[in-house]
Amino acid sequence: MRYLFLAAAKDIRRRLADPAAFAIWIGLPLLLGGLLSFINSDDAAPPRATVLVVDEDETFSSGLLLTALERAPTVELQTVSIDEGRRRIDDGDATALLVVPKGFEQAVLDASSASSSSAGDGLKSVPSSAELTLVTNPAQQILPNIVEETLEIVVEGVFYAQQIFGTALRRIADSQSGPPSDADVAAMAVEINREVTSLQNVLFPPAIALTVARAAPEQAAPSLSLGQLFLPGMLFMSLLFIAGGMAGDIWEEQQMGTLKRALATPQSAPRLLAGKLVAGITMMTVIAFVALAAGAVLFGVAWWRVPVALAWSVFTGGALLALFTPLQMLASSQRAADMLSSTILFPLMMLGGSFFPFDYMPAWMAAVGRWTPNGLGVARLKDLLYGDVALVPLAIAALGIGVPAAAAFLFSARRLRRRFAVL
Amino acid sequence: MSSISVEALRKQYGDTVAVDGISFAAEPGQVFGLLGPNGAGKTTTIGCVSGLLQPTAGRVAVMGHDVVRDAIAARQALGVVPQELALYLDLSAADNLAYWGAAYDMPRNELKTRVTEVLEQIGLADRARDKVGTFSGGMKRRLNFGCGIIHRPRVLLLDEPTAGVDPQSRVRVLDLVREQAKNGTAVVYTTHYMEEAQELCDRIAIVDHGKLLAIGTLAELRALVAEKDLVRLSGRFDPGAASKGLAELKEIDVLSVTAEAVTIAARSASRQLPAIFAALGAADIQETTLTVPSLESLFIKLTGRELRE
Repeated sequence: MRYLFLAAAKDIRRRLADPAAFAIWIGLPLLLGGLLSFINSDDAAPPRATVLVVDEDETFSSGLLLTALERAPTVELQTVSIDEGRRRIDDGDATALLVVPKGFEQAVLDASSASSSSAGDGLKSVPSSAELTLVTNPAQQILPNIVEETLEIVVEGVFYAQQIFGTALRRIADSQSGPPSDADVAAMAVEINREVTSLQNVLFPPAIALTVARAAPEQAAPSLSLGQLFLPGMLFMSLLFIAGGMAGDIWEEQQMGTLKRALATPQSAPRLLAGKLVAGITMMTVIAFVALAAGAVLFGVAWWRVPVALAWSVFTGGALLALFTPLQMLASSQRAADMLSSTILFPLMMLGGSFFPFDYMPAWMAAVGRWTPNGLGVARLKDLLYGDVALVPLAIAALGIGVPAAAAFLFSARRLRRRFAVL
Repeated sequence: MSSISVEALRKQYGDTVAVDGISFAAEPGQVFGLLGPNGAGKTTTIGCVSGLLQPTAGRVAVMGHDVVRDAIAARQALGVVPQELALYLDLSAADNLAYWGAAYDMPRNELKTRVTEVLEQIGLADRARDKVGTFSGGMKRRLNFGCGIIHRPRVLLLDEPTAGVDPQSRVRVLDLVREQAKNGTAVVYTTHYMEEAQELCDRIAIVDHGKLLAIGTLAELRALVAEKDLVRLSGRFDPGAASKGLAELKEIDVLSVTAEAVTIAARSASRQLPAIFAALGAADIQETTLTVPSLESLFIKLTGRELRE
């Protein structure tokens, strides 16, 4: 046993002496995980449109309009002078500039049509009627449209308010010189109550109801985020890299002459290979733990699932290493071995759910991919991370991976002494 | 019981016979040399003895253990210093020694002491913690040797350990070999350097084309050439006429006659040269080489060609 650990320690130290390879193995899943986490973060605030406002009317009605506009969650209002507004919109410093012209309230109360005009290429002259002017930032694509749509709705609302509560609004406008008298307030209350009562049948309950139904995606598990879906595949991408790299180490030792020397010691070929397997499994344990811990922190994987997922990942990773080793030994040179390994590694990654989750693959491809060695690993890891831990499918997958891996290990050990060492 | 005994060893790859019935034995404290040109079958012989290669026929035993049937015990008693540098360049000298010691299942405490001891022996104690990749060729060669003796083997196989080594490091390696033999280790030393074999080996086997041509102590081998000088004549000859002419000279042995060269063994050959030239008559002799008795002359006598050809 002591030799196994010393051999593994030797190989780990040699790997650590090659920081570039190690960085790829450990860095790739972290990088992808970080990116996905950023894209998928629940804390990310939605984008808001900054609308610069020039209120030249400064009346109750213009205040009502701007208050209604400000209630929109995507809009942030900033009151500015007309000159500052022009300068900032020219500098691209805001989404839009809204000008409420003088005489806006009077025009509304006189039942003039309240409307808005939009200009994306410059400021038009402000009309004297109730026409609002909205200057949008041509450098932005989506937010100006949101502001325009929101303003259209608000303007529509102002129009209907004028139609229903026009008389009451006029009283408020007329009382601007001072607070309205008790009689005026009472009259307004009676008038508004009368209007609301007449509309009661329509407003309470609303005559039109809207029900929003979201269609469930055909395949994707609705409860999993993008990061959660990618995590098992990313981890297995890393394990495949380690398996491919560590399997290739047998050629490095062959070239260095250390393999021949090792075979002249009392250690058997299976023990020599087992040393390499222990080294690979140790590195896989570290990297899988980092990836799963990142999954727990970033994607909400339950911590209690991490140990089982770790054990499964390491078992499957070790099996992948055992499966890649005979591929290296079948080649007649190190170069041929690298090519053979890459030819199998990358399609296996694509098909086995390590680049894209099975949920995003065509059904036939996912069905095939789930039976590849890494595909079996990814599918069961996903269950272990997010689903029910079913023992039967897990045992079937373990046998599906473990038996070929054991056969590959024995084949490698036999070939190591009989042919490979004396090439 | 010999430390190592090789009996009728044969190794064949398809139709190619790399080793053809070689037999020899080495005793404790003895340096046994396998001398022969490149491709003679020395490394294949070492491969079979170390258990790396499966012999096609014959038997090899190390300290009485058959290397095929009792492989683990045989390898436990064996130390191997391969021709190429079999070292981990990313690890330190001490780590390399510790790893190879562990491969022979040395107990932890003993190994620690032994690593220090071997580092002193090979003159690398001050570089113990440095990565081997930073070492000079000679230092790597010494460490390569150290890794072969870390577990105090009873039999040590050295496959051309001085190949490509500077003269200073060569002297050091040869001293290390002598030290091992002095401590009772049986050393099997392959080389194509005649001088090394003469200087170092107690017994020598001369091999070529996979066959053992001669075996014995240096004195015994010298006796095979019977203190005769070797005369090698190069040029253009009529083999029939040359053989006939030389046959009339009684004090010479004709070793080989071809259209390009004639090789003769003779006592005090320099005095016999006029008679030899006369016997060859009309031959176009372009070069004449006279060699005093040595392993080189023995090799030429046995094979008709020089060791380095």
